[in-house]
Amino acid sequence: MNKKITMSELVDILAQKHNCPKRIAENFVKELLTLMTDTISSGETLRINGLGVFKPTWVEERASVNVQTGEPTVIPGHYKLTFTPAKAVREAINEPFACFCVEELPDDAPIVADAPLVDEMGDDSADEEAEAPATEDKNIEQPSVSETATPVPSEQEVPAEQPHFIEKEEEVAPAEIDEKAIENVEEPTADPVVADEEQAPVIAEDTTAPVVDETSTPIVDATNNNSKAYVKGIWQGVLATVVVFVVAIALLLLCFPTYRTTLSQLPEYAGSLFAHNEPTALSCDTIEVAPVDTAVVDSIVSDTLSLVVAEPEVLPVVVDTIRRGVFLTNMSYKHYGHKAFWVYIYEENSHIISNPDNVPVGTVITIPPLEKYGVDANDTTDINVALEKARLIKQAMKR
Amino acid sequence: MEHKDLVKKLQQRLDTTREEVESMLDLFCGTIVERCSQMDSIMIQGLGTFEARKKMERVSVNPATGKRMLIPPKIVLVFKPNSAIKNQLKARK
Repeated sequence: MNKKITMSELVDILAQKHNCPKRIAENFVKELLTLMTDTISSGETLRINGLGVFKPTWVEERASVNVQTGEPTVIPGHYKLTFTPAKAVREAINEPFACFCVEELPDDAPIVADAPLVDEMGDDSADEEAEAPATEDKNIEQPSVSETATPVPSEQEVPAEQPHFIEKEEEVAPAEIDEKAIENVEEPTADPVVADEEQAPVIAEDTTAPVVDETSTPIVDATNNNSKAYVKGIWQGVLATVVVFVVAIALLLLCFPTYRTTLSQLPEYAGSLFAHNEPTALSCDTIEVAPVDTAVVDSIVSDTLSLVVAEPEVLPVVVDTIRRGVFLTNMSYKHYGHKAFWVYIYEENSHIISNPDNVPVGTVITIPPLEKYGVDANDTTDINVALEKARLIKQAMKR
Repeated sequence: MEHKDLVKKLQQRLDTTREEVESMLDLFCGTIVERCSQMDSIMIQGLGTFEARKKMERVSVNPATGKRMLIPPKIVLVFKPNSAIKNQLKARK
Protein backbone atom coordinates (compact mmCIF):
# COMPACT_ATOMS: atom_id res chain seq x y z
CA MET A 1 0.00 0.00 0.00
CA ASN A 2 1.50 3.26 -1.21
CA LYS A 3 5.00 1.86 -0.94
CA LYS A 4 7.78 2.99 -3.20
CA ILE A 5 9.53 0.14 -4.85
CA THR A 6 13.00 0.70 -6.19
CA MET A 7 15.02 -1.06 -8.85
CA SER A 8 16.84 -3.35 -6.45
CA GLU A 9 13.61 -4.55 -4.89
CA LEU A 10 12.20 -5.17 -8.32
CA VAL A 11 15.26 -7.23 -9.21
CA ASP A 12 14.83 -9.22 -6.00
CA ILE A 13 11.22 -9.99 -6.77
CA LEU A 14 12.08 -10.93 -10.33
CA ALA A 15 14.87 -13.25 -9.26
CA GLN A 16 12.62 -14.91 -6.73
CA LYS A 17 9.78 -15.40 -9.18
CA HIS A 18 11.94 -16.66 -12.00
CA ASN A 19 13.94 -18.86 -9.69
CA CYS A 20 17.26 -17.66 -11.03
CA PRO A 21 20.29 -16.01 -9.42
CA LYS A 22 19.99 -12.31 -8.72
CA ARG A 23 22.89 -11.57 -11.03
CA ILE A 24 20.99 -12.80 -14.06
CA ALA A 25 17.85 -10.91 -13.15
CA GLU A 26 19.85 -7.76 -12.59
CA ASN A 27 21.63 -8.17 -15.87
CA PHE A 28 18.35 -8.67 -17.66
CA VAL A 29 16.72 -5.60 -16.11
CA LYS A 30 19.76 -3.48 -16.87
CA GLU A 31 19.83 -4.51 -20.51
CA LEU A 32 16.08 -4.10 -20.81
CA LEU A 33 16.23 -0.61 -19.36
CA THR A 34 19.09 0.60 -21.52
CA LEU A 35 17.29 -0.75 -24.54
CA MET A 36 14.05 0.93 -23.47
CA THR A 37 15.67 4.27 -22.74
CA ASP A 38 17.61 4.20 -26.01
CA THR A 39 14.52 3.40 -28.00
CA ILE A 40 12.32 5.92 -26.25
CA SER A 41 14.77 8.80 -26.29
CA SER A 42 15.56 8.20 -29.94
CA GLY A 43 11.92 9.03 -30.56
CA GLU A 44 10.78 5.58 -31.53
CA THR A 45 7.52 4.01 -30.41
CA LEU A 46 8.02 1.10 -28.05
CA ARG A 47 5.39 -1.54 -27.54
CA ILE A 48 5.70 -4.11 -24.75
CA ASN A 49 2.93 -6.67 -24.82
CA GLY A 50 2.30 -7.15 -21.11
CA LEU A 51 2.61 -3.47 -20.29
CA GLY A 52 1.61 -0.96 -22.94
CA VAL A 53 2.89 1.48 -25.51
CA PHE A 54 5.46 4.23 -24.99
CA LYS A 55 5.09 6.80 -27.69
CA PRO A 56 6.52 10.26 -28.20
CA THR A 57 3.86 12.75 -29.22
CA TRP A 58 4.38 16.17 -30.71
CA VAL A 59 3.18 19.16 -28.68
CA GLU A 60 2.50 22.26 -30.79
CA GLU A 61 4.13 25.51 -29.83
CA ARG A 62 1.88 27.75 -27.78
CA ALA A 63 1.81 31.22 -26.35
CA SER A 64 2.35 31.61 -22.66
CA VAL A 65 3.15 34.33 -20.15
CA ASN A 66 6.21 34.60 -17.99
CA VAL A 67 4.68 34.61 -14.55
CA GLN A 68 7.41 36.75 -13.00
CA THR A 69 7.61 39.54 -15.57
CA GLY A 70 4.22 39.23 -17.25
CA GLU A 71 5.95 39.14 -20.62
CA PRO A 72 4.30 37.02 -23.29
CA THR A 73 6.53 34.18 -24.40
CA VAL A 74 6.20 31.33 -26.84
CA ILE A 75 6.79 27.77 -25.70
CA PRO A 76 8.36 26.03 -28.70
CA GLY A 77 6.87 22.82 -29.97
CA HIS A 78 8.43 19.68 -28.52
CA TYR A 79 7.98 15.97 -28.08
CA LYS A 80 6.66 14.45 -24.89
CA LEU A 81 6.42 10.84 -23.89
CA THR A 82 3.00 9.29 -23.47
CA PHE A 83 2.35 5.89 -22.02
CA THR A 84 -0.81 3.97 -22.82
CA PRO A 85 -1.29 0.85 -20.72
CA ALA A 86 -2.47 -2.29 -22.47
CA LYS A 87 -6.12 -3.25 -22.07
CA ALA A 88 -5.39 -6.20 -19.82
CA VAL A 89 -3.22 -4.00 -17.61
CA ARG A 90 -5.88 -1.31 -17.42
CA GLU A 91 -8.44 -3.87 -16.35
CA ALA A 92 -6.13 -5.43 -13.79
CA ILE A 93 -5.37 -2.06 -12.21
CA ASN A 94 -9.01 -0.96 -12.21
CA GLU A 95 -10.22 -4.26 -10.79
CA PRO A 96 -11.63 -2.83 -7.51
CA PHE A 97 -13.81 -0.38 -9.44
CA ALA A 98 -14.65 -2.78 -12.26
CA CYS A 99 -18.31 -3.07 -11.28
CA PHE A 100 -19.08 0.58 -12.04
CA CYS A 101 -20.44 1.52 -15.40
CA VAL A 102 -21.31 4.81 -17.03
CA GLU A 103 -24.74 6.00 -16.06
CA GLU A 104 -26.88 8.50 -17.86
CA LEU A 105 -28.18 11.31 -15.70
CA PRO A 106 -31.78 12.46 -15.97
CA ASP A 107 -32.16 15.94 -17.40
CA ASP A 108 -33.85 17.50 -14.41
CA ALA A 109 -31.15 16.49 -11.91
CA PRO A 110 -28.94 19.31 -10.60
CA ILE A 111 -25.43 19.55 -12.01
CA VAL A 112 -23.61 18.94 -8.74
CA ALA A 113 -26.11 16.23 -8.09
CA ASP A 114 -26.03 14.60 -4.71
CA ALA A 115 -29.03 12.40 -5.29
CA PRO A 116 -27.78 10.44 -8.31
CA LEU A 117 -24.34 10.33 -6.78
CA VAL A 118 -25.59 8.61 -3.65
CA ASP A 119 -25.62 5.23 -5.36
CA GLU A 120 -22.00 5.49 -6.32
CA MET A 121 -20.91 7.15 -3.13
CA GLY A 122 -22.33 4.37 -1.03
CA ASP A 123 -20.24 1.88 -2.93
CA ASP A 124 -17.13 3.96 -2.87
CA SER A 125 -16.50 3.12 0.71
CA ALA A 126 -12.72 2.96 0.59
CA ASP A 127 -12.70 6.73 0.85
CA GLU A 128 -16.10 6.86 2.41
CA GLU A 129 -15.04 4.89 5.41
CA ALA A 130 -12.49 7.47 6.32
CA GLU A 131 -14.89 10.31 5.72
CA ALA A 132 -18.01 8.93 7.27
CA PRO A 133 -16.92 8.87 10.92
CA ALA A 134 -15.59 12.39 10.63
CA THR A 135 -18.86 13.80 9.40
CA GLU A 136 -20.84 11.81 11.86
CA ASP A 137 -18.66 13.14 14.62
CA LYS A 138 -19.56 16.64 13.61
CA ASN A 139 -23.21 15.77 13.72
CA ILE A 140 -22.86 14.44 17.18
CA GLU A 141 -20.79 17.28 18.45
CA GLN A 142 -23.57 19.75 18.02
CA PRO A 143 -26.40 17.97 19.80
CA SER A 144 -24.16 16.81 22.61
CA VAL A 145 -22.99 20.32 23.35
CA SER A 146 -26.48 21.70 23.50
CA GLU A 147 -27.86 18.78 25.45
CA THR A 148 -25.16 18.61 28.03
CA ALA A 149 -25.70 22.28 28.62
CA THR A 150 -29.36 21.80 29.43
CA PRO A 151 -29.23 19.28 32.25
CA VAL A 152 -26.24 20.97 33.88
CA PRO A 153 -26.88 24.66 34.60
CA SER A 154 -24.16 27.04 33.59
CA GLU A 155 -23.35 27.99 37.21
CA GLN A 156 -22.41 24.41 37.86
CA GLU A 157 -20.30 24.24 34.77
CA VAL A 158 -18.17 27.09 36.02
CA PRO A 159 -17.27 25.46 39.34
CA ALA A 160 -16.51 22.38 37.35
CA GLU A 161 -13.62 24.25 35.86
CA GLN A 162 -12.59 26.34 38.83
CA PRO A 163 -11.86 23.70 41.46
CA HIS A 164 -9.41 22.06 39.13
CA PHE A 165 -7.49 25.27 38.74
CA ILE A 166 -7.54 25.94 42.45
CA GLU A 167 -6.44 22.44 43.15
CA LYS A 168 -3.53 22.80 40.79
CA GLU A 169 -2.40 26.10 42.31
CA GLU A 170 -2.64 24.55 45.72
CA GLU A 171 -0.50 21.68 44.57
CA VAL A 172 2.26 23.93 43.38
CA ALA A 173 2.40 26.68 46.00
CA PRO A 174 2.14 25.42 49.65
CA ALA A 175 4.02 22.66 51.42
CA GLU A 176 3.54 19.09 50.34
CA ILE A 177 1.49 18.11 53.36
CA ASP A 178 -1.21 20.58 52.51
CA GLU A 179 -1.59 19.26 49.08
CA LYS A 180 -1.71 15.71 50.28
CA ALA A 181 -4.33 16.59 52.78
CA ILE A 182 -6.52 18.09 50.15
CA GLU A 183 -6.20 15.09 48.03
CA ASN A 184 -7.03 12.96 50.97
CA VAL A 185 -10.07 15.01 51.79
CA GLU A 186 -11.19 14.61 48.33
CA GLU A 187 -10.98 10.87 48.48
CA PRO A 188 -14.24 10.09 50.25
CA THR A 189 -16.12 12.28 47.85
CA ALA A 190 -14.51 10.66 44.91
CA ASP A 191 -14.92 7.11 46.07
CA PRO A 192 -18.68 6.67 45.75
CA VAL A 193 -18.60 8.36 42.42
CA VAL A 194 -16.05 5.87 41.19
CA ALA A 195 -18.19 3.02 42.33
CA ASP A 196 -21.22 4.47 40.60
CA GLU A 197 -19.94 5.84 37.38
CA GLU A 198 -16.42 4.50 36.79
CA GLN A 199 -15.19 7.85 35.56
CA ALA A 200 -11.64 8.04 34.30
CA PRO A 201 -10.51 11.42 35.74
CA VAL A 202 -11.79 10.51 39.19
CA ILE A 203 -10.00 7.21 39.13
CA ALA A 204 -6.74 8.97 38.56
CA GLU A 205 -7.22 10.94 41.77
CA ASP A 206 -8.31 7.86 43.59
CA THR A 207 -5.15 5.95 42.86
CA THR A 208 -2.96 8.63 44.36
CA ALA A 209 -5.00 8.83 47.54
CA PRO A 210 -4.11 5.52 49.25
CA VAL A 211 -0.42 6.37 49.18
CA VAL A 212 -1.08 9.66 50.91
CA ASP A 213 -3.42 8.13 53.44
CA GLU A 214 -1.02 7.15 56.25
CA THR A 215 1.16 10.23 56.22
CA SER A 216 -1.53 12.86 56.42
CA THR A 217 -4.33 11.51 58.57
CA PRO A 218 -3.72 13.83 61.58
CA ILE A 219 -3.65 16.94 59.45
CA VAL A 220 -6.89 16.22 57.75
CA ASP A 221 -8.96 17.72 60.60
CA ALA A 222 -7.04 20.98 60.57
CA THR A 223 -7.19 21.46 56.87
CA ASN A 224 -10.67 20.09 56.71
CA ASN A 225 -12.28 23.31 57.92
CA ASN A 226 -10.13 25.50 55.74
CA SER A 227 -10.77 23.57 52.64
CA LYS A 228 -14.42 22.86 53.23
CA ALA A 229 -15.30 25.51 50.67
CA TYR A 230 -12.94 23.89 48.22
CA VAL A 231 -14.33 20.48 48.99
CA LYS A 232 -17.81 21.68 48.24
CA GLY A 233 -16.62 23.19 45.00
CA ILE A 234 -14.65 20.10 44.11
CA TRP A 235 -17.60 17.91 44.97
CA GLN A 236 -19.85 19.91 42.73
CA GLY A 237 -17.22 20.05 40.04
CA VAL A 238 -16.61 16.33 40.07
CA LEU A 239 -20.33 15.67 40.00
CA ALA A 240 -20.82 18.09 37.14
CA THR A 241 -18.00 16.59 35.06
CA VAL A 242 -19.27 13.10 35.76
CA VAL A 243 -22.76 14.08 34.64
CA VAL A 244 -21.36 15.69 31.51
CA PHE A 245 -19.31 12.60 30.65
CA VAL A 246 -22.17 10.21 31.30
CA VAL A 247 -24.52 12.23 29.12
CA ALA A 248 -21.87 12.46 26.40
CA ILE A 249 -21.27 8.71 26.47
CA ALA A 250 -24.98 7.99 26.46
CA LEU A 251 -25.42 10.30 23.49
CA LEU A 252 -22.53 8.66 21.68
CA LEU A 253 -24.05 5.25 22.19
CA LEU A 254 -27.45 6.54 21.10
CA CYS A 255 -26.05 8.11 17.98
CA PHE A 256 -24.14 5.00 16.97
CA PRO A 257 -26.82 2.38 17.31
CA THR A 258 -25.71 0.74 14.12
CA TYR A 259 -22.15 0.32 15.31
CA ARG A 260 -23.31 -1.01 18.60
CA THR A 261 -25.62 -3.57 17.11
CA THR A 262 -23.22 -4.70 14.46
CA LEU A 263 -20.47 -5.01 17.02
CA SER A 264 -22.58 -7.03 19.39
CA GLN A 265 -24.06 -9.10 16.63
CA LEU A 266 -20.85 -9.82 14.90
CA PRO A 267 -19.39 -12.45 17.23
CA GLU A 268 -22.50 -14.63 17.41
CA TYR A 269 -23.07 -14.65 13.68
CA ALA A 270 -19.41 -15.12 13.09
CA GLY A 271 -19.78 -18.14 15.31
CA SER A 272 -22.64 -19.55 13.32
CA LEU A 273 -20.96 -18.84 10.03
CA PHE A 274 -17.77 -20.37 11.28
CA ALA A 275 -19.44 -23.69 10.73
CA HIS A 276 -19.39 -23.03 7.02
CA ASN A 277 -15.83 -21.89 7.06
CA GLU A 278 -14.41 -24.69 9.15
CA PRO A 279 -13.54 -27.23 6.47
CA THR A 280 -11.61 -24.83 4.25
CA ALA A 281 -9.02 -22.19 4.93
CA LEU A 282 -10.41 -19.01 6.51
CA SER A 283 -8.29 -16.73 4.40
CA CYS A 284 -9.90 -17.97 1.21
CA ASP A 285 -11.67 -15.34 -0.82
CA THR A 286 -14.68 -17.32 -1.83
CA ILE A 287 -15.45 -20.49 -0.03
CA GLU A 288 -17.65 -23.11 -1.53
CA VAL A 289 -18.86 -25.66 0.92
CA ALA A 290 -20.57 -28.75 -0.30
CA PRO A 291 -23.51 -30.05 1.76
CA VAL A 292 -21.38 -33.06 2.65
CA ASP A 293 -18.94 -30.82 4.41
CA THR A 294 -21.60 -29.09 6.48
CA ALA A 295 -22.73 -32.50 7.56
CA VAL A 296 -19.24 -33.24 8.82
CA VAL A 297 -19.16 -29.95 10.63
CA ASP A 298 -22.49 -30.72 12.25
CA SER A 299 -20.94 -33.47 14.25
CA ILE A 300 -18.03 -31.26 15.30
CA VAL A 301 -19.85 -28.09 16.22
CA SER A 302 -22.94 -29.21 18.05
CA ASP A 303 -23.88 -25.69 19.09
CA THR A 304 -24.51 -24.49 15.59
CA LEU A 305 -26.09 -27.73 14.55
CA SER A 306 -29.62 -26.41 14.67
CA LEU A 307 -28.68 -23.38 12.60
CA VAL A 308 -27.07 -25.40 9.87
CA VAL A 309 -29.81 -27.97 9.75
CA ALA A 310 -32.46 -25.27 9.77
CA GLU A 311 -31.56 -24.32 6.23
CA PRO A 312 -31.30 -27.58 4.36
CA GLU A 313 -29.85 -26.47 1.05
CA VAL A 314 -29.25 -28.81 -1.81
CA LEU A 315 -27.23 -26.15 -3.62
CA PRO A 316 -23.69 -25.44 -2.39
CA VAL A 317 -23.43 -22.51 0.01
CA VAL A 318 -21.22 -19.72 -1.26
CA VAL A 319 -19.66 -17.46 1.34
CA ASP A 320 -17.74 -14.23 0.80
CA THR A 321 -16.09 -11.77 3.14
CA ILE A 322 -16.36 -7.97 3.08
CA ARG A 323 -12.94 -6.39 2.72
CA ARG A 324 -11.52 -3.05 1.75
CA GLY A 325 -12.79 -2.34 -1.72
CA VAL A 326 -15.26 -5.23 -1.68
CA PHE A 327 -18.89 -4.23 -1.22
CA LEU A 328 -22.24 -5.86 -1.75
CA THR A 329 -22.40 -4.50 -5.30
CA ASN A 330 -18.94 -5.88 -6.08
CA MET A 331 -19.96 -9.27 -4.78
CA SER A 332 -23.12 -9.21 -6.81
CA TYR A 333 -21.13 -8.37 -9.90
CA LYS A 334 -18.64 -11.11 -9.17
CA HIS A 335 -21.11 -13.88 -8.40
CA TYR A 336 -24.12 -12.95 -10.55
CA GLY A 337 -22.62 -10.82 -13.29
CA HIS A 338 -24.64 -7.70 -12.49
CA LYS A 339 -24.33 -5.27 -9.60
CA ALA A 340 -28.07 -4.66 -9.27
CA PHE A 341 -28.61 -8.00 -7.57
CA TRP A 342 -26.93 -6.93 -4.36
CA VAL A 343 -30.45 -6.55 -2.94
CA TYR A 344 -30.79 -10.33 -2.81
CA ILE A 345 -27.49 -10.69 -1.02
CA TYR A 346 -28.71 -8.02 1.37
CA GLU A 347 -32.03 -9.79 1.92
CA GLU A 348 -30.27 -13.09 2.54
CA ASN A 349 -28.00 -11.44 5.12
CA SER A 350 -30.32 -8.77 6.47
CA HIS A 351 -29.90 -10.20 9.96
CA ILE A 352 -26.17 -9.30 9.89
CA ILE A 353 -26.25 -6.13 7.83
CA SER A 354 -27.87 -3.13 9.42
CA ASN A 355 -26.88 -0.68 6.71
CA PRO A 356 -26.10 -2.01 3.22
CA ASP A 357 -24.10 1.13 2.49
CA ASN A 358 -21.77 0.53 5.38
CA VAL A 359 -21.07 -3.12 6.02
CA PRO A 360 -18.21 -3.55 8.50
CA VAL A 361 -15.01 -5.01 7.07
CA GLY A 362 -14.70 -8.70 7.90
CA THR A 363 -18.41 -9.46 7.79
CA VAL A 364 -18.93 -12.91 6.32
CA ILE A 365 -21.72 -12.80 3.75
CA THR A 366 -23.70 -15.75 2.45
CA ILE A 367 -24.29 -15.49 -1.28
CA PRO A 368 -27.67 -17.03 -2.10
CA PRO A 369 -28.16 -18.75 -5.45
CA LEU A 370 -30.28 -16.46 -7.62
CA GLU A 371 -32.67 -19.31 -8.38
CA LYS A 372 -33.81 -19.10 -4.78
CA TYR A 373 -35.45 -15.78 -5.59
CA GLY A 374 -36.56 -16.88 -9.04
CA VAL A 375 -34.27 -14.40 -10.73
CA ASP A 376 -32.50 -14.75 -14.04
CA ALA A 377 -29.30 -12.71 -14.20
CA ASN A 378 -29.69 -12.00 -17.91
CA ASP A 379 -33.29 -10.80 -17.75
CA THR A 380 -33.66 -7.02 -17.95
CA THR A 381 -37.03 -7.04 -16.19
CA ASP A 382 -35.43 -8.86 -13.28
CA ILE A 383 -32.68 -6.24 -13.19
CA ASN A 384 -35.33 -3.54 -13.06
CA VAL A 385 -37.13 -5.35 -10.27
CA ALA A 386 -33.85 -5.51 -8.36
CA LEU A 387 -33.20 -1.80 -8.95
CA GLU A 388 -36.69 -0.97 -7.71
CA LYS A 389 -36.02 -3.08 -4.63
CA ALA A 390 -32.74 -1.25 -4.08
CA ARG A 391 -34.60 2.05 -4.26
CA LEU A 392 -37.09 0.91 -1.64
CA ILE A 393 -34.29 -0.28 0.64
CA LYS A 394 -32.51 3.06 0.30
CA GLN A 395 -35.73 4.88 1.11
CA ALA A 396 -36.30 2.71 4.14
CA MET A 397 -32.73 3.42 5.29
CA LYS A 398 -33.28 7.15 5.04
CA ARG A 399 -36.23 7.03 7.38
CA MET B 1 9.82 -0.91 -31.90
CA GLU B 2 7.42 -3.77 -31.57
CA HIS B 3 7.46 -6.37 -28.84
CA LYS B 4 9.02 -8.95 -31.15
CA ASP B 5 11.95 -6.69 -32.02
CA LEU B 6 12.53 -5.86 -28.41
CA VAL B 7 12.69 -9.52 -27.50
CA LYS B 8 15.04 -10.25 -30.39
CA LYS B 9 17.41 -7.46 -29.44
CA LEU B 10 17.40 -8.46 -25.82
CA GLN B 11 18.11 -12.02 -26.79
CA GLN B 12 21.13 -10.92 -28.81
CA ARG B 13 22.44 -8.74 -26.03
CA LEU B 14 21.94 -11.27 -23.25
CA ASP B 15 22.93 -14.23 -25.36
CA THR B 16 20.10 -16.48 -24.16
CA THR B 17 17.08 -18.18 -25.65
CA ARG B 18 13.99 -16.37 -26.81
CA GLU B 19 11.79 -18.23 -24.32
CA GLU B 20 14.01 -17.16 -21.47
CA VAL B 21 13.76 -13.51 -22.47
CA GLU B 22 10.02 -13.74 -23.03
CA SER B 23 9.33 -15.27 -19.65
CA MET B 24 11.57 -12.74 -17.92
CA LEU B 25 9.86 -9.86 -19.69
CA ASP B 26 6.44 -11.21 -18.80
CA LEU B 27 7.45 -11.51 -15.18
CA PHE B 28 8.89 -8.00 -15.22
CA CYS B 29 5.66 -6.52 -16.58
CA GLY B 30 3.55 -8.75 -14.35
CA THR B 31 5.41 -7.55 -11.28
CA ILE B 32 4.88 -3.92 -12.19
CA VAL B 33 1.17 -4.45 -12.77
CA GLU B 34 0.77 -6.53 -9.64
CA ARG B 35 2.48 -3.99 -7.40
CA CYS B 36 0.68 -1.08 -8.98
CA SER B 37 -2.69 -2.71 -8.44
CA GLN B 38 -1.76 -2.71 -4.75
CA MET B 39 -1.37 1.06 -5.09
CA ASP B 40 2.41 0.89 -4.81
CA SER B 41 4.60 2.96 -7.06
CA ILE B 42 7.62 1.56 -8.84
CA MET B 43 10.62 3.77 -9.40
CA ILE B 44 12.86 2.65 -12.22
CA GLN B 45 16.11 4.50 -12.39
CA GLY B 46 16.88 6.04 -15.74
CA LEU B 47 13.37 5.52 -17.00
CA GLY B 48 10.69 6.86 -14.71
CA THR B 49 7.98 5.91 -12.26
CA PHE B 50 4.97 3.67 -12.67
CA GLU B 51 2.15 4.41 -10.29
CA ALA B 52 -1.58 3.84 -9.90
CA ARG B 53 -3.75 6.91 -9.52
CA LYS B 54 -7.33 7.20 -8.43
CA LYS B 55 -9.60 9.28 -10.61
CA MET B 56 -12.76 10.68 -9.13
CA GLU B 57 -16.12 10.17 -10.71
CA ARG B 58 -17.25 13.05 -12.92
CA VAL B 59 -20.13 14.27 -15.00
CA SER B 60 -19.44 14.58 -18.69
CA VAL B 61 -21.70 15.74 -21.49
CA ASN B 62 -21.97 14.01 -24.81
CA PRO B 63 -21.58 16.95 -27.21
CA ALA B 64 -23.57 15.23 -29.93
CA THR B 65 -26.67 14.39 -27.92
CA GLY B 66 -26.32 16.79 -24.99
CA LYS B 67 -26.88 13.90 -22.59
CA ARG B 68 -25.09 14.11 -19.28
CA MET B 69 -23.29 11.00 -18.16
CA LEU B 70 -21.85 10.07 -14.82
CA ILE B 71 -18.41 8.63 -15.44
CA PRO B 72 -17.56 6.27 -12.58
CA PRO B 73 -14.38 6.55 -10.52
CA LYS B 74 -11.46 4.49 -11.72
CA ILE B 75 -7.85 3.61 -11.02
CA VAL B 76 -5.37 4.10 -13.84
CA LEU B 77 -1.73 3.19 -14.35
CA VAL B 78 0.37 6.30 -14.89
CA PHE B 79 3.94 6.47 -16.12
CA LYS B 80 5.99 9.53 -15.34
CA PRO B 81 9.19 9.64 -17.40
CA ASN B 82 12.21 10.96 -15.56
CA SER B 83 13.65 14.34 -16.49
CA ALA B 84 16.59 12.95 -18.48
CA ILE B 85 14.29 11.23 -20.93
CA LYS B 86 11.96 14.20 -21.04
CA ASN B 87 14.80 16.55 -21.87
CA GLN B 88 16.22 14.26 -24.51
CA LEU B 89 12.86 14.09 -26.22
CA LYS B 90 12.39 17.84 -25.94
CA ALA B 91 15.77 18.46 -27.55
CA ARG B 92 14.77 16.40 -30.56
CA LYS B 93 13.27 18.40 -33.40
